[in-house]
Formats: sequence, structure tokens, C-alpha cells
Amino acid sequence: MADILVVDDQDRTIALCQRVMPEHRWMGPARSWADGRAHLSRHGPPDLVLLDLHFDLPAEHLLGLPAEPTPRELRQAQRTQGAEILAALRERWPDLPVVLMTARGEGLERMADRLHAQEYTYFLDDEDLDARALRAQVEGILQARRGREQEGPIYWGRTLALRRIRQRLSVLARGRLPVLLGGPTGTGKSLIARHFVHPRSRRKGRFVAVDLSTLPRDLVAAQLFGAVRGAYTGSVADRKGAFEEADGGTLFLDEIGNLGEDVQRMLLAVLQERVVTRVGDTRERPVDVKLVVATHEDLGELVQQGRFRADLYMRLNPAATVRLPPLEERRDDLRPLVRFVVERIGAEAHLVELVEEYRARVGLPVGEADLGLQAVLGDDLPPARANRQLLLLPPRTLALLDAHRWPGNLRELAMTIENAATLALAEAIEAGRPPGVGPAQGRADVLQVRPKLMRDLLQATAPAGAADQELDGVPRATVEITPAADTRAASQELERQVYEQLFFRTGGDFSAMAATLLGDPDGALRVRNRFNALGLRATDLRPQIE
Amino acid sequence: MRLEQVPPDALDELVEQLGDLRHDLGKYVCFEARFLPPDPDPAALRAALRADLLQTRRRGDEVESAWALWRRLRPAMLDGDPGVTALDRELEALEAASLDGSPAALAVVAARAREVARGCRTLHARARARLEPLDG
Repeated sequence: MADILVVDDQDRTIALCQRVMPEHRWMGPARSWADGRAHLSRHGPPDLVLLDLHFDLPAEHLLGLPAEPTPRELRQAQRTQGAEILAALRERWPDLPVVLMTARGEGLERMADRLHAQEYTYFLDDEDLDARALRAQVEGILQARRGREQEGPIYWGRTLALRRIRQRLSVLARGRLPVLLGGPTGTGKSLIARHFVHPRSRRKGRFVAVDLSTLPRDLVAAQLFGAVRGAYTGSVADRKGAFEEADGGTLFLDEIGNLGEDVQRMLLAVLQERVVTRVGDTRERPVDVKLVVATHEDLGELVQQGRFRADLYMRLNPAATVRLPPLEERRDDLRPLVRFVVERIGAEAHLVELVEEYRARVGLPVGEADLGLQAVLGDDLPPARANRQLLLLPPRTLALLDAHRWPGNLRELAMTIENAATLALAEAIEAGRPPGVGPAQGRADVLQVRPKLMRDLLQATAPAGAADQELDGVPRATVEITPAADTRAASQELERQVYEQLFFRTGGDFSAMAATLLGDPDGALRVRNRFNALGLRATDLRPQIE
Repeated sequence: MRLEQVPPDALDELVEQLGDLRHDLGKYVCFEARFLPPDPDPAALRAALRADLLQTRRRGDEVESAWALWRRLRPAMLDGDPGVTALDRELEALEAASLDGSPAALAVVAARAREVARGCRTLHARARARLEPLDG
């Protein structure tokens, strides 16, 4: 299922698309660039944009018009408005696939400079369009895009920063120089080394990974460079090190900042001379490896502190360091990442088994869900299909994901989603029926990740000090309890803090407070009564509202 | 006047006018019917034809039928051109046709709508073909 935004001043294209391809989520129509821009800002970029060329709009809604247009200029701007919108779109989303719906002979050649007809712009002759042609075009583009994006377990996402990183890594992978990957833990450095850099290095040898944070310090040298029999206690035979194992291939050294001074010196020698000497040996053996190193630390700072050799640092090609951003900086990618993770884990054997067990329990055909598990984010459920099982994350569950800070980054997200899917399946299997309430509306093909389940999962992985974060829109409060304290008073104090913070945040709107606290904006009176019972006075607090 | 007799200085304006005709009438006169399967359900075909012919162009609350659009956008300069005459005939027949008829009658209406789309496209293409050598 893909998100497709229709930008068109008419309703009928989207209506037809919905009829012909109900498996996708069709959004819009955005009737002008202002509408489209607002939609993109609110929801992020979709998987595809279907853009009409001709917009019958008044002058104030058109792009690219002179200040006081003549009737003819107005008509021409209407006829080619799609090209203006495309140009505006390309400034912010240069590689978002856009299908421009236009008939041959509408004078496209005159707007060539505005069409940005590079790899991601497609033309659809909509005069002879029928259901089959439309489906073929849309599916073809989506499939090509999936092929580009889904490189093994890596989701590059839609942010420009990640796309630039991808391009840069493609180039660095082919060169002879080492690749230095930075960024916080859990951002996918190891996945990228294994599934992106190594395949693109065009090397025939193996990919070998060594995590330097888990190796006992006195064994690091032998692990990396090999050792001869008797070189150290317990060394009963000659053995190759990681460099020799990776000869002709790629060697990935994770957490390079953990290397001790002696091994740093040995590594420098290997990088300079391209030979390794096994521990306890004198014979030099030539090695040819593509070296990829990663660290969550700032190596430059370690050099300043004297903990990392400056000459080794310079050999690691620091000028071309690729820093992978934390998930916090990829908020646009959060939802597509959730979809991506659900699709991937849906193919894992243990989840396939659970899905089949669930389907058998609720009377759905078993062995036919060949489209696997697909995520639905929000409350816009697509129609049921026999060959797929949906995992619904309703708006309140999504709000929890949005509010979380993801200190463990992609790794944490993947684990959370896998846990959520597994537990949602386990709950439904145990109940022996689909979720009977909420947006799933009792549909057997829809599993649901309830907000409570997600809240529990996120709390379990929340870092220390996360108590001041908010969950599900409700502010967090803290109170110190001494051994002799009255716990009822402490509980009331916590409640009072939450009510007070919400009062300020909502500008003193009790309906909005009720919507957050009770999930029911009509509960304003109840909230107001409790507010007063907690000793809070709206008249005292209102002057403090900013 | 036949299209081939239109003076060169009037061609620019005519091409634009025929472009509007091709887009507003030609594109939408069989827009929904095209998306139906080859042997459509008569009720679905009837609904599609109603939308295509009675609400061919929609601008907000304003709706124009195919024949109303033709009257508004008809290139008066081309009175006597066989392409325009053929379109006159097809639109007149469409306006008179009943959309409550048998499946066979509906199929005839759908064929006429497709003919209108083709006629609009051909007129525009002929005008552009005359203009392009002048541009070149």
C-alpha cells in the first residue's frame, strides 16, 4: 500500500483512482499549490504525486503569473499550472516521484525548463487513459522506487540528508580509501557497512565484522591480525586474523574508538604497508581489504584527549566521515520506517507462523496471506483482501511514537515495532477473535496495536530521566516521596501538576483538557470539577497564560 | 472556413482556442466511461455517461454539459470545416440521446462520446501542424 497525493482542481481523477486501485491510500485532491504545500507540510512527502497540468483557478491561486495578467496570460498560466507546481515541488523534494498528467500536444516543449524531467518525473497521457494504463504506470513507478529504497534491511527514507548520505557512500564504497561512519548507536552503521558499502565495493572477498567494544583487550590484536601457535596462553594453532579473512573483501571495525594504543600502532602499520604480521610471527602477509570503521564517539576529540593516534586518525579518511543522523533528526521518516519494519518483520518465520495461527483461530483462509503483514497508520483502513493481514496503529498509538525520543534510534524502533506486532498477535490469538472495538471495527484481517500496549513498550525502553517526557499528550510530573510521606497527598500533588501544566498548554480550555485526559472533549465539566477539587483556581492561573 | 484556409496571423489564437476545446470537452467527454471494463455493467455505464455528458466540466458549483461546452467553445471561424461539422452532428445527437435506454443504445452513446474526444483532438492537432512549420 502506498500513499499517493493527487494535485488536481477536479475531483474525478482521485475518485477514479480510488476505484481502480483501492489498495493504495489516495490523498487530496489538493486543488492548488497552496493546498498541496499545506498537505505536504502536515503529512510529509507521499510515495507518489499525481499532478494535473491544467488548473481552472482564479489568478490569486496561480503560480507564475505577472502582477496584472492579461486574460491571455491568465489562460496560459491555467493551462500550464502543473509545470509551475512541479517546479515549486522540486525545490523542496527533488526526488519525489511525480506523474504529470498531460495529453500529447499540450505544448510541453515550451515548458521544458520548468518540468525538471529528470529521473523522478513521469508523464501520463491522460486523454486515452484507462484503468489498465493508469495501474501499470502507478505500479511501475512504485515498484521501481521500492527497489531503490529497499536495499536489504536499509530504509533510506525520504529526507534529503539521507539521500545525500546514500550518494556519498556509493562513491566512497568504490574507492580505495577507508570509510569512517559516525553517528549515535543504533543508527544502522553496521547494516550500512554490510548491506550497502560492501556490495558496492565490487570486491569478491568476504565481509568480515569485528565489534571492538566486545573483545577482551588482550585478544584484539590476535583477532585482527592473527596469531601463531604459542603466541599467547591458549593459542594452540596458527590462526588467521580478520584482515586475512577479509582479504579481497571488506573489513568492518565497529567502535574503533575502543582500540588500545598498541593495537592502534599495529593497525596504522597495516594501513600504511598493506601487510599484516600475525602476533608472534615475523612473516609479513599482503592484504587487500576495503576498511570501514565506525564509532559513536567523536574521534577528533579522542585525538585531542590523546586517546587516539592522530596519524591513525588521518589514515581513516576523516575528511569524508559519513555521520548517520539519529532518528530524532529523521522525523519525516518515522512513519515510512514503521511501514518498512512491519513489512520486513512480517516475512520473519516466527511472525508468519503467528499470523497463520491467528488466521486459523478467527476463521480466515490460512496460507493465503502472500502479501504478508502490512501496516496501516491512522484510522483510514483499506478494504479487506484475502491475501494480506493488516496491522493497525491507530492515531493514539501513532501519537505515542511521535512523542517518543528514540534514544536507541533505528534499533529501538525496529525492536519496538517487532514487539508490538508480536504482542498484538499474541493478544488476538489468546482472545480467539479480532479486536472488537476501536477503528478495527471487528475486522478479522485487522490486528491492532492498542495505545496501552505501545505505551508499555515505550516505557520499558525509555532512558533514565525520561520521566519529564510526555506520553500520549499528557504531561509528566514528578514528586519526591519521603518514607514518612502521605502517599495520598503525593498522588494529589502529581495530579495537580498535570492539571496545571495542561491548563497552561491548552490556554485554559477545559474541553481540550478533557480531550487529552479523558479522550472526550465533552467531559469539560468533570475536568473542571476535579481541577477545583485539587485546589487550582482558573482565575488565578489565567493571567499566567502566555 | 476550412482550417487550412485560416490566415497565419489568426493561427496562434485558434490553436489556443482548440487547446481549450480539446482539454475541457475532449478530455472529459468520456473520462469516466474509459475506466470501465470492456463489457461494463449497464448501470455503471449509465452512471459514467451521465457524469461525462451532463457534468463534463465542473468549476466549483458550476457545471456544464458536453453540448453547453461545445456551444461556448465552438470555433465559429471554422464554420464549414468538416471536423467542426462532424462535431456539430455528434453533439446534437448526444444532446438528443436518452441515457435511460437499453445497453445497446448506451453503447452507441458511449461510442459517440469517444468520437467527440477524437474529433477535438484531431482539430487541435491539425491546427498545431499548420502552426509548427511557421514556428520552425
